[in-house]
Amino acid sequence: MESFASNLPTQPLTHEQFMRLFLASERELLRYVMALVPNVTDARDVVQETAIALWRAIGKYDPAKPFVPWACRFALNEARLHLRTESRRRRLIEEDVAAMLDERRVEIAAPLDARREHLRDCLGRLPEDQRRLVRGYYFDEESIEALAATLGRGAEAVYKALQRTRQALQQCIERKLQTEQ
Amino acid sequence: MNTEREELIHLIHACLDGRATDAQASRLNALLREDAAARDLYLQLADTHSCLAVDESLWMDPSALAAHPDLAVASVPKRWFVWRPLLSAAAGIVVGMLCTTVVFAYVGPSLVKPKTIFAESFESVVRTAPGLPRGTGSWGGDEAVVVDSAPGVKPRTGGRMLRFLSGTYQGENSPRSQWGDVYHIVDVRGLAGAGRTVARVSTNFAQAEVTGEKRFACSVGAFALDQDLSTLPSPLNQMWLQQNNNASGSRRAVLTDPGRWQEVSVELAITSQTRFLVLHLAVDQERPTLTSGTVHFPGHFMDDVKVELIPRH
Repeated sequence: MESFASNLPTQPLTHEQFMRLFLASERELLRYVMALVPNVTDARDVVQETAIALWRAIGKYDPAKPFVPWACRFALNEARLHLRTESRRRRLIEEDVAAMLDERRVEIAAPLDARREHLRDCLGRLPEDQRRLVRGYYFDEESIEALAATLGRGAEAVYKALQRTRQALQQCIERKLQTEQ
Repeated sequence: MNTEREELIHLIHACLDGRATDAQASRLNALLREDAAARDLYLQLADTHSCLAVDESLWMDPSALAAHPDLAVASVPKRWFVWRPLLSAAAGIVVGMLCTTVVFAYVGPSLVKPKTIFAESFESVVRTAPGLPRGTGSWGGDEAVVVDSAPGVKPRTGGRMLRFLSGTYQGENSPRSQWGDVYHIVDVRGLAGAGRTVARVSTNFAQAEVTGEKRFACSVGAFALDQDLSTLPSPLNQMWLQQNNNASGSRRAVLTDPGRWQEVSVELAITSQTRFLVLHLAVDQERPTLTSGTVHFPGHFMDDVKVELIPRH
């Protein structure tokens, strides 16, 4: 059936076309938001609010330009709105700090990209049990308590193991960056 | 590593993990305000945090990643975007968007065995009906037929599989379309418990040898509807589904090796009020982008569609 890509650039997007663009960008938007709103469930809510804001403004979108940078403007707005109301209750970073961080994030975008590439390699070098732990916690969204129950260990011990694994990842990335220099 | 840096890392992770106390959160915010190096460290750790949670390519083996370059990490936007107030004009807001929940693969792991509530291997289907179906039990959408075999592709199971033919159907005759979509409605009334239930929709796609520069992709999507089927518009269309669903999900993957079946799945949360799932399965010509005309798929197939329900605790 008709697709967004078949439209001429000067035509406004239809709802279907917008949805296809949004769905293709959703993962990247989520990652963008999670740096400021770290809980993935909250971040998804922010991305969903972003979708609404984007749809409201879709008439202003220029289809000749990349969608994700345009969408990130709205995602940042929504993340800041979330922090404005939730930062103290949820013990998150505060809105003014978020603005400072986002400004700096743009400045260090290239080093962050390099770190991501090293992260892939460093993750592959982890011992299998540590890799499973990181995957369970982050990607599979298991709580520390659920992981502890699965592993037959105490929650505190599992959290410390996660901390050690994250430290190992961080050190691995740092070593690789130093080697590059 | 010095003590101050260790303390900062501890505070950042406590915040990212949602485990910070009031005092820790205050301390971290103060440090981040004062210290540019602290902000850099926060951004590094937060970026790793989000990549580990969101970037599925990190968890694929290298050979699978090579086959799915579309899953590689993309850079964050490199420009600073100026803060501006949200547009307040309400005109044109689609209510369905408020309810749209894109779940992708972020739903947690199953603790119980999934229950299969729908399975289709196209052994008794002949072809799709034109347009979206308005009832259960039939396949509809763009032109597609069921075939026994094709050069280079055999049914994944059984003796038959669905072949996508066109990006449109008789009656729609879309002048420009690069998507071949098929739909099926599954009745889930009474199947979701009172707690959280995830519906997982999966299917398998394959393509025959593709010549030239063309590249094709496939996608699996689903819409959860609380409405009774009698209230569906006639004809039903995708925009209505997008505007009126209670939850939706979609996943897309590039088709790679000829003749190899690729499983694609998506998960979405449903509730005890969910009555129907509308499955949306599609292939599309990704490259070159179509500027006119309708795609006729040279050899694109689907087999073994499945819907499972997974209670989450």
